[in-house]
Amino acid sequence: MSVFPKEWSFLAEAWKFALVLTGREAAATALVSGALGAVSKRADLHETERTRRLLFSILCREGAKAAVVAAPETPAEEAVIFLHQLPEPSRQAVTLLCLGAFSGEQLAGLLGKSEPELARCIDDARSLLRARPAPLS
Amino acid sequence: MSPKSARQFLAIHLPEVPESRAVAKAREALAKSPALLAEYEAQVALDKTVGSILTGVDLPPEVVGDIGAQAVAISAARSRRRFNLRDPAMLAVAIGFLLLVAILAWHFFGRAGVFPEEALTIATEGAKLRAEQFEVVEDKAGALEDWFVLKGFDRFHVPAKFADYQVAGARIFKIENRQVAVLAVPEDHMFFLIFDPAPLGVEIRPEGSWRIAEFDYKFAAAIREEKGMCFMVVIKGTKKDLSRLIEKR
Repeated sequence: MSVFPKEWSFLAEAWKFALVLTGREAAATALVSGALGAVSKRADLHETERTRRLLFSILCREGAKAAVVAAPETPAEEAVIFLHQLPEPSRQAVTLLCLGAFSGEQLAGLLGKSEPELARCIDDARSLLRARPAPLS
Repeated sequence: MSPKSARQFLAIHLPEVPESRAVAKAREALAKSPALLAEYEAQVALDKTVGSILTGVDLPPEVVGDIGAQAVAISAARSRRRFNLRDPAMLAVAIGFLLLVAILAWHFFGRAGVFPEEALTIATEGAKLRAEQFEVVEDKAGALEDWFVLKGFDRFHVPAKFADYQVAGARIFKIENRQVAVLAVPEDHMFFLIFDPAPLGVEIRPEGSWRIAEFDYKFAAAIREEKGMCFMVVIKGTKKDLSRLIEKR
């Protein structure tokens, strides 16, 4: 159950996504906060779905600029480090898919890829995850 | 659907997310290909594991507080913005509304003072009449109602300000099969034309207001509507001359 108001329930997923992209809790909070700041300046956004899409779009764009973290410092950072260290665009694609935040079709639109390209990105991510020293499955 | 296409559709699909028709067809393909089914099951297991790891990440309470407060502030600002007249969208709606009101006002209040084109046609015809085409009538303009009734023109009306002009001749002519009463007034070499505006598509609003125009380079006409009839004065002269003449009365 989300701890945010109903229309902002996606913020929990947004923060987790930001955590995967930045590798640091503080940086994830700053990233989401910055994206919310950009959203607040848009006078034409009233629907939750458009807000959510814009917020994730900003997170994708800005989060990709974050440096890769070598050593996690908190349990949350530790939990997602295996995703954080994946290369882009596979990292964003597989994280958003597994968060269940978007359907495949929506995700392809958000990341600016065709569905076959998105499928390849996610396949690459899955292959890398399976090849880890302690495989996930 | 071929296994290759099915694999592509299933690769970007989570079982928890509602299926599209393409994904449903891809699932049917799974039954025909044990290798594809095994691959898909491994994919679902991996995605579930990753998903459960992400679900298990707890948001620190201070993060929830900070981001939540920011989100609530955005919602509050949006609800205020919805009724803010400085909002570009609201401004556009307001301008659109004012424009609509202006267009309606222009339409209903006499097309912004334009002289009706149909009336100019009548004035042009009236100005062509020669003295010998009139019947000799020597009376005041306001006293000719009975004379016109006998000629079959029922709603003759001259505004009070013009009723005292001495008339030298009168007649009726037809435009578009509608009657127009014409008076020849020696003073200031004028013609008075009286006609029912509705059948000819003429409308002067507000009632009693004047529209003045020049035509054929040497004539000027002034028209007004009163008691449902149009009264038009035509002179040989300019708009300025005619305005002065109307004001004089």
